[in-house]
Amino acid sequence: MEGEKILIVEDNPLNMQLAMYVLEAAGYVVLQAEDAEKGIALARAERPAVILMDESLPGMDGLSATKVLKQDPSMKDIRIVMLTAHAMKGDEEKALSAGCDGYLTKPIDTRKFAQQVAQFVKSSRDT
Amino acid sequence: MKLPIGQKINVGFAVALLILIVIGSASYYNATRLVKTADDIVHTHRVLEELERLLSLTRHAETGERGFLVTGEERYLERYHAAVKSVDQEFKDLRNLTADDPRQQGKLHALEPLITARFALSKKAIELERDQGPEAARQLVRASEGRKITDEIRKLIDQMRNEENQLLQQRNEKEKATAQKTIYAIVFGSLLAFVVVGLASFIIHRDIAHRRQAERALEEERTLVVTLMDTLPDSIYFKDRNSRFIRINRALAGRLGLTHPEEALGKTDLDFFTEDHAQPAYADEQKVVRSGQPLLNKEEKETFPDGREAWVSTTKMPLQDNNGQIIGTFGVSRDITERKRAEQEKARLMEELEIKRRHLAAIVEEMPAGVIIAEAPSGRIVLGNRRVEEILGHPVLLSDRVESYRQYQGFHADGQPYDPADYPLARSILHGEVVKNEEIEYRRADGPWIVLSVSSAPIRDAEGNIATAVVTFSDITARKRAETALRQAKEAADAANLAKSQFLANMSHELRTPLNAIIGFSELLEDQTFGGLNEKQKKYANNILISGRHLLQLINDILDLAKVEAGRMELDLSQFDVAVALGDAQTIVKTLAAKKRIEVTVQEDSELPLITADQPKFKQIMYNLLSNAIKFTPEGGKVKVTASLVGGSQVAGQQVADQPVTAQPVAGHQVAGQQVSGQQVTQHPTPDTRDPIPVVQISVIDSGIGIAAQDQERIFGEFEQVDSAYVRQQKGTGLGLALTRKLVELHGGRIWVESEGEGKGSTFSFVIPARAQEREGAETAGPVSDKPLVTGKIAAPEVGDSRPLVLVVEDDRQARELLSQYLSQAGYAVAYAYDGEHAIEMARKLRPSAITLDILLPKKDGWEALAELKSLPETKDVPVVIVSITDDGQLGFSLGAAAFLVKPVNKEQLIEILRKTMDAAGKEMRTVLVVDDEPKVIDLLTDMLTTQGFTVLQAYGGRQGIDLAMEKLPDAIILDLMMPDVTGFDVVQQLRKHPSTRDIPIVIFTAKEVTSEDRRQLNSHIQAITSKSSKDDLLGQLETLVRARRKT
Repeated sequence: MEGEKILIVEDNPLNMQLAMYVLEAAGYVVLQAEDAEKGIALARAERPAVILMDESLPGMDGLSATKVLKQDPSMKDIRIVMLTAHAMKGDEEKALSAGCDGYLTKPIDTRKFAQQVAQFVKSSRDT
Repeated sequence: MKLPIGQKINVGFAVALLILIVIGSASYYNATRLVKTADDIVHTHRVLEELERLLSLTRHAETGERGFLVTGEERYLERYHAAVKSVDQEFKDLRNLTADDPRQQGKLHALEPLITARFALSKKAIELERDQGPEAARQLVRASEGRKITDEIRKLIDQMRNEENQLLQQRNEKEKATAQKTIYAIVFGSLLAFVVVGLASFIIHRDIAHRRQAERALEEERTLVVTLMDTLPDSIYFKDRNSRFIRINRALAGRLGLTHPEEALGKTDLDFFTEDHAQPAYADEQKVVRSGQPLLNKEEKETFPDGREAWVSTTKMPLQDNNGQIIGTFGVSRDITERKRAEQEKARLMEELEIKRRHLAAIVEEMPAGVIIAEAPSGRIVLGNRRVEEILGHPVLLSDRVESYRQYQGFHADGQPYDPADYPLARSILHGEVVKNEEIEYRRADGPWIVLSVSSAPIRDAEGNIATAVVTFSDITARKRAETALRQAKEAADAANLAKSQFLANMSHELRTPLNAIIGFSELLEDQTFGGLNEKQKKYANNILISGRHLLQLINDILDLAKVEAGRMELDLSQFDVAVALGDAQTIVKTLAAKKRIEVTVQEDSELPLITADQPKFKQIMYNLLSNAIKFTPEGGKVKVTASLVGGSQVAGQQVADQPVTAQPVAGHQVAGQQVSGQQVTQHPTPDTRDPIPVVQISVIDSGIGIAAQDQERIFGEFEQVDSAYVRQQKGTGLGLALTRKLVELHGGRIWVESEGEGKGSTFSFVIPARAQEREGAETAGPVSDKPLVTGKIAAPEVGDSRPLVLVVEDDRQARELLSQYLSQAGYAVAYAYDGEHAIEMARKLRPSAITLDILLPKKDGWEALAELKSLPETKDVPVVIVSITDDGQLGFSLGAAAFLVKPVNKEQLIEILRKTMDAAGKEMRTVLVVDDEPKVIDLLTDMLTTQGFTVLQAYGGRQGIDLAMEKLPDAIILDLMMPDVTGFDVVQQLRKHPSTRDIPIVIFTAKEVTSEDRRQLNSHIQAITSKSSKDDLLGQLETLVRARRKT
């Protein structure tokens, strides 16, 4: 589990930092991208096990980025988890229908977050 | 020969007889001639005989003389003497026989002396002899000329004999000729007679043959006549001059009750009919007899001997003999009872038809819609009622063909004028199309544009051909405006709603994003993931974390509340066990309770059923109440949960009411409705009530701080908490109870709190139906029942209830309950009916303030019920709001509905519409006259006022304003001051003078700066002056004025 690459696509630096701290503390290698385009490029270059994708991003949003990645046959095994502050009814469905493998809402629970991510890492490895 | 047969026979016989007579005469004549000729012959023969005898006498005399002379014997003289003796006689005979023959007579004359002489000689000789002896005598004889005389005699007689023989020959020839002639005459005559007789008999035979033929024809004719008379159903009769029957036919005999027609002979009408009939009949017949003029087709009623009455048509003709003499009458009476009956029936039907036609005409004339009827296929307009002119501004244009419909000023929505053949009426005429509620924009003759709702249908004759078509239309301009306004309002509301949702979503997102950092980093700090903290640092980090979480909770609660209020929270119903759910809730708060050493117990009825509700929300309710109870209960206190099944919601209410303490059940409707008006709400339990839906009541009883009476309602409001030092110490968003209440109401239940006061603990109780119902639109539902809903034939509100009564007509129980909840929450008393008939019965009995009417109802549907309600004097003024899934508002309005709502019904909309319609119905006087020279202002005000339920009269100048005010007496006048010619001031003055318009409130609506001088001039007659910039004020003032006027 340790050493797995996790890509975080997040435009808010504080939230990026928070997630990174928590995940690095859990032993993951964290890759950072502050917008969708960089995220996609990084995903293609590094092939992370899991991408934590923010929904509201400057330019291309997280849902579109997810679609782009999921349409790429070489990328489709990467687990993409929507990590978003959109916690209204219907938001989860929106994420899942865009192709996300999971949906986590902000604020994150730092005491459970690493565990939640680990499940996706595990499922990624199993395939 | 055109002679009668008798004459022919006579002529024949006469001719034949004549011929016979001629023949007979000829024969007789000939026979007589023959007889005469024969007589002549006989005569001649006798003459010849006599001559012979004469000759022989002569000889006898000579012989005797000679013998005597010779012998002298006397014996010889005998002959002589016999001859002498006979000769005279002989001469006599001869003279007679030849009397007709002069020649023979002459000869006879000559003969006579000779004979005499001879006889005289003989005599002398004889005497001589005797006297002188034989010789003398002989001498003498020899000497005398005796011989010579004898010769002479002989010669004469021969001559006479020849003469006679010649005559005889002549006569024989004559006789022969006559006989011949007779034969000829007979033969010829007979032949002629044969010919005549033959001819006659031929003619006669021929005539007889003809006659036989004629007789046969006559016989056939007679048979026909007899058959005709005997088989004709008409009465036929012949009467003499004294009206006695000579002959009648079988039909009449039957009618007279006779077995044989002969029985009537010699009788009169009086023998069979009453005098009433017989007398006029007699008079008629006498008239016919006298005048010789027929009586034709007289129709009269007869009563026959068997009592049967019949109408007959009688014709009486004079009956003439061969000489043309009138010998009586001949009559035919036809039974026309059936025809008469048919005529009467027809007359009756015609009358009925006429009545119907008049009814129809009256209906057409009085209909609120314009009606035009036109003939097919020409399109000729044959009828239009007076509404046509009222609506179109011009009378019916009596076009005679479809093409001339061009005169009508109809336009499509896109502004294109209607082609004549495109008008609904023309389409019905030409294609049999049925047009329903087609909207046509129409330019009235006097200018304004109106919107017509036009329906048209063909009327077909018995063969199915289009005979006429009828078009009806009404002016829906006002409604169209209202609809537009309503649609715009709805669009605006939808937009606002969308904006609100968007805002909430954005707010949620924007708050969560920083909270993520706040909560996350403070957790990291508190967990000392990246190094240790001192106690203070740790505490501060914890403070940040708690505040962050509080904020997050706040956001979540606000979102939940917003969702409920936006109607977006839906119940996800499932069946579950209340006890299990309560156990789960208990487990969740276990840690919380344990911290404060509070004991949480659950006590439930053994008969608790499985309930149908939204399980997570039920748990949320329980969690909220339990955590609240724990929060406000001091350490070591107790919290008890009880759950029980009660028969119906009113029982819960009653329990509440029975509480000895100030028990003020708090329920959604009261918060929404009456609480606002500050009314004290008290439940009036009604003994005779039942509610079929079981409800579950759950109470959370704590031994906490209690709630003061004045706070018991308030705490269910948003951001409301009991204001006390203790409470302030507690953490809470102030949204928990508000959300809890909404969740309970969403289930169709209600929640309330009881407390004996501060420090004495609180009991929070809620009831929810064992079967919650899913509701579209997810309104904040009130309690199951506020006013107990009565089932049964008639649901009537309690006597003395001052709340306005709304009659809910709805056959679906769920829909009924929903509506009654909305209504009772809004402060209405509710009664209901299940079908159209029941609705009418209830409406007449209860006289409700308003009626909500479903359309799809058993027995009598909503349309029928509506029409009937509007036709009954006691219910016609009750406003009816149609609440239906059928979207046919037009029909509803045309039948008199005040408003139309399509299910699912929005509560606010329902209440608002009810309020408006009841207001409108309550105010008969809702006509406002707008007087302004600015058409735009009039249009604006018209729109504004019509949406508020006013009827607007428009005057585009002071003069028109005064006229309209006088004529229509509006309830209020909105008046511009600055107008050309007749100003607002003039209008006020004019109206003030007149008693009927003096009291009409006038609102001055002007852009003019109103000076104190103006005010003085306008005097006290003006109720309000409003600037043109503030239209809202205007409406408010108008409402107030109209309401005030209504009260007086």
